[in-house]
Amino acid sequence: MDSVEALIKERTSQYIDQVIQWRRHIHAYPELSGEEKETSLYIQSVLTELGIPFKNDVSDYAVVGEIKGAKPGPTIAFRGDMDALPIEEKTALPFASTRKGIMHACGHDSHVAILLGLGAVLQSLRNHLQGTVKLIFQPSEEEALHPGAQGIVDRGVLDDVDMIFGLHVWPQLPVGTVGLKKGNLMAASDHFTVHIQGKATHGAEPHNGIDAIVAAANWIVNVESIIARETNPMDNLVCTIGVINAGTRYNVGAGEAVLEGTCRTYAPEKRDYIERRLGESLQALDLMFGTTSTLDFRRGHSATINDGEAIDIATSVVERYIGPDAVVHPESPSMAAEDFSAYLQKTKGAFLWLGAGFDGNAPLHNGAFTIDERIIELGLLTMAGIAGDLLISHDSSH
Amino acid sequence: MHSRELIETYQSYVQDWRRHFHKYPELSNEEFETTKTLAKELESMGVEVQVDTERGTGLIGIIRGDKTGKAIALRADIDALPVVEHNTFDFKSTVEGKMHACGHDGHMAILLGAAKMLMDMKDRIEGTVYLVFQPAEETGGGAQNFINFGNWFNEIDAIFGGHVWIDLPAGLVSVEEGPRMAASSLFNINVKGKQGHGAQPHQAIDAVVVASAIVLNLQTVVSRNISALDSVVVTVGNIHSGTEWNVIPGEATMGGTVRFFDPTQEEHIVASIRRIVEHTAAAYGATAEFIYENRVPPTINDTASSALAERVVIDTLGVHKLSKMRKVMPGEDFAWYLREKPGCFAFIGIQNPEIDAVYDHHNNRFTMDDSILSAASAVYAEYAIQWLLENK
Repeated sequence: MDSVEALIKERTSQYIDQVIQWRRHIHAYPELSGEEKETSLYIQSVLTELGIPFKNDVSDYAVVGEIKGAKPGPTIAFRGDMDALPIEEKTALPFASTRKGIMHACGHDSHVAILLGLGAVLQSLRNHLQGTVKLIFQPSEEEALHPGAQGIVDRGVLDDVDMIFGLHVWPQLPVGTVGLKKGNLMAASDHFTVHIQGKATHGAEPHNGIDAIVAAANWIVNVESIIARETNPMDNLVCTIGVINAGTRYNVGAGEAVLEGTCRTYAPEKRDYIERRLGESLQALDLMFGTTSTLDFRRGHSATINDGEAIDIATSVVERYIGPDAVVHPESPSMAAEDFSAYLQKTKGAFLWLGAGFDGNAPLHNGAFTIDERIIELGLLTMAGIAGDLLISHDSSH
Repeated sequence: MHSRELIETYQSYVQDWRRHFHKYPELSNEEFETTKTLAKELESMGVEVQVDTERGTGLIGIIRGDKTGKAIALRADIDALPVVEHNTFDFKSTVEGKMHACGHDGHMAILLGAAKMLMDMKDRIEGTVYLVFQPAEETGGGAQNFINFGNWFNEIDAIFGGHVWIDLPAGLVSVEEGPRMAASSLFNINVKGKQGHGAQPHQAIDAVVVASAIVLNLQTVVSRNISALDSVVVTVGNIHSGTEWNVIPGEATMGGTVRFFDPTQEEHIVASIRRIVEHTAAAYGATAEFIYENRVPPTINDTASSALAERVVIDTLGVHKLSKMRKVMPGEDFAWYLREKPGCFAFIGIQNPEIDAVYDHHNNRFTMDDSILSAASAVYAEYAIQWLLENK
C-alpha cells in the first residue's frame, strides 16, 4: 500500500520537468493585465492535453479547470495569477521575455506552472479524490482597477468552494521554505493620481509662472514626512509615488505635473487617514505655491487575512512533504497587496509565501528578478499535499 | 538722403513682409521656403545673394557701397516655433502647429526694409554691408553653424542685430551697453536608485524621492550660493520617472536650463549644481549623473557700439524713442557673434495693447505692432552707414 504522501511525491517527480518547461514558456511570453489572451490559450491547451475540463467564459481571460473526484466530498479551490508587468527584463536567461518592456517580474509564471502541475498530479489521482478540485487561473492581479479576483468571485465560481489556497513566490524568505502566517498577511492597496496645475513659463523667467516641478517635488518630500512623523511606528502604512511626469522642454518651466502612486494599509481607519492627509497636504501645497491640485484616490484590493485553520492544514503539509525546517511563521505581514483578498472575503482559506530568496536575487517587480527553479517543486508538493489531506482519505489510497 | 526720410516710404513694405512670413512659418533648420523667398526678394532689389546651398537654409545678402571701406553685418534670425497659433487675424499661420511666436517674422521684414533703404542710399555707404539671415536661433547651434558658412564672418569688422520685444512699448528702442541677454545652458540629470515593489520601499532606492530632493536642493543655488546682486536662474524643466503606479522606479531623468550674465560665474554655478546633484543622490544611497552643456554665452554689447547705436536712434527716430530697458533672461545666439566681433544687439518695442500685442514671446497669442518695423529698418540701415563712416 502506498501512502497518499508517497503517491503525490511520486507523481510530482514524474511531472516536475514538464512543469518547469511550462513555466519557462510562460516566462518567455508575458502579457499585461487584462491582455492575457495567449497565456489563457496556452493554459487551455495544457488542460486539454491533461484531460481536465475547464471553463473559459468566466470573466476576461480567466480559465477555471475542474477535477471531479470518484467520490463526493468538499470542493477545494487553488488559484494562480497569470499577468505580467510593464518592466524591461534585465536577466540574461535563455527563456527571457521575448516581448520588449513586458516581464514576469512578479513570479506569476511560476504560479501558473505550479497550478498546471497541480492539475496534472491530481488528474492522475482523480480516482482517489473524494470531492472536487477547482483550478482558478486568474487574470489581472497586478492592476487593482481591473476586476481580477473580484470578477471571478462575482461570477459565482467560489459559491460551492469550501476552502481556497494560493501562493506567491517570495524573495524575502529563503529558498527551501514556505511562509505560513495566520491573520494579517498582505495589505490593502489603493491607487491615486495627482494633478498639480501650475503655470508654464519661459525657463529663464521663473517669476512669470508657477513651477509645477518644484511644487511636485515639495509634495513628494512632504508625503515622506506624513509616514515618518505622523504615523504611529507600530502601524503599517506605505505610500509610494511610482510615476512622475512633468514638462516637455529643458527651457520651459513646467506648467503641470502628473503623479501616480499607491497606499498600502491594514486597518480601515488608516486607509481613511492616508487618503484624507494626501488631500490636505495638496491643499496646503496649493496655498504655498499658488498651484491648483487634484487628488483622484481609488480604492483597490482589501487586506488579505488568512484563516487560522487553513494555515494549520498547510503547516502540517509542509512539515510532512518538505520537512519541519521548511516551515516559517513570519512575524510581520507584507505591505504588498494581493487580490486574493477577494476570495478570502468570500470563503475561508490561506495564501502562502513560497521562499524565493537567495544571495543576489532582486526584489519582486525588478527587471533582474528571477527564481531558483527548485522552488517550483516545493510549491507543487505543498499544494498537492493540501489537496491530498483534504480530498484523499488514507483508506482510499490503495 | 537719411534713413529717417525712408521710414514712411517703406512702412507698408516692411509690414506686408512681416505678415507674409507670419503666414508661412518654418521650424529651425527647415527654413527652406523662407530662404528661397528672401533670396528672390533680395535679388529683385539687385542685392548680391549667397544661399547656404549645403543646408538649404540661411543666406547672406551683400550690398557694396559706392565707396570702399570696412564691412559690417546686420543680422536677422528666420525660424519659427512648434506652437499652435491661437490668433485669428487674416495673416495667422497657415501651418498647423507652427508659428512665428517669437517675432523672427518681424526681424526678417526689418532687414528687408533695411536692404531697400541701403540700396537707395548706396552713395552714403563707405564699405560693405552684409545682410545675414540666420537659421535655427530657437534650437541653438544656428549662429555657430552660420559663422562657418562661406567667409562672411571673417570679412566683417562689426555686427548689429536686434529683437522685437513685447515688454517695450511699440516704437521705443533700447541699445544699452553691457550684458543684455543671459547665457543659456542645458543640463540633464540621470538619477539611479534601485527599482522595487511599491509596497516594499525598504528594499528599493526610490528615484522619485531622490529626484524630488534634488529639485528642492537645487533651489538653494540661487538663494544661497549666488550673490543677491547677480541674476541667475536654475530651472528644472522636465522630470520623468516610473511607468507603473505600484513599482518604485529605479531611475529618474530631469532636464533643465541655467541662465546667467557674468561668464566668470559659470564655473561656480556649475560646480554648485553638480555638488548638490551628486551629494543629494548619495544621501539617499543613489547615484546621479550631471551633464552640462552651454548653448549660448551671455549677449554683451560693447561700450563704443552701444554709444553709436544711441546716437543713431536719437538721430533717426528722435530722443524720445530711446529707451532704457533692464537686461532680460532669455538667451540669444547672437552672443556667439559678439564674442568675436564688436557690436550691439537692440531691443525694439512692439507692445501695443490696442491691437492685443501684449502676449509674451512664445505664447500662442503673441503678436506685434508691425507699423513701427520700418522705423527699426531705418535704425539698422543708419547704424551700418554710420559705423562704416566712423571706422574708415
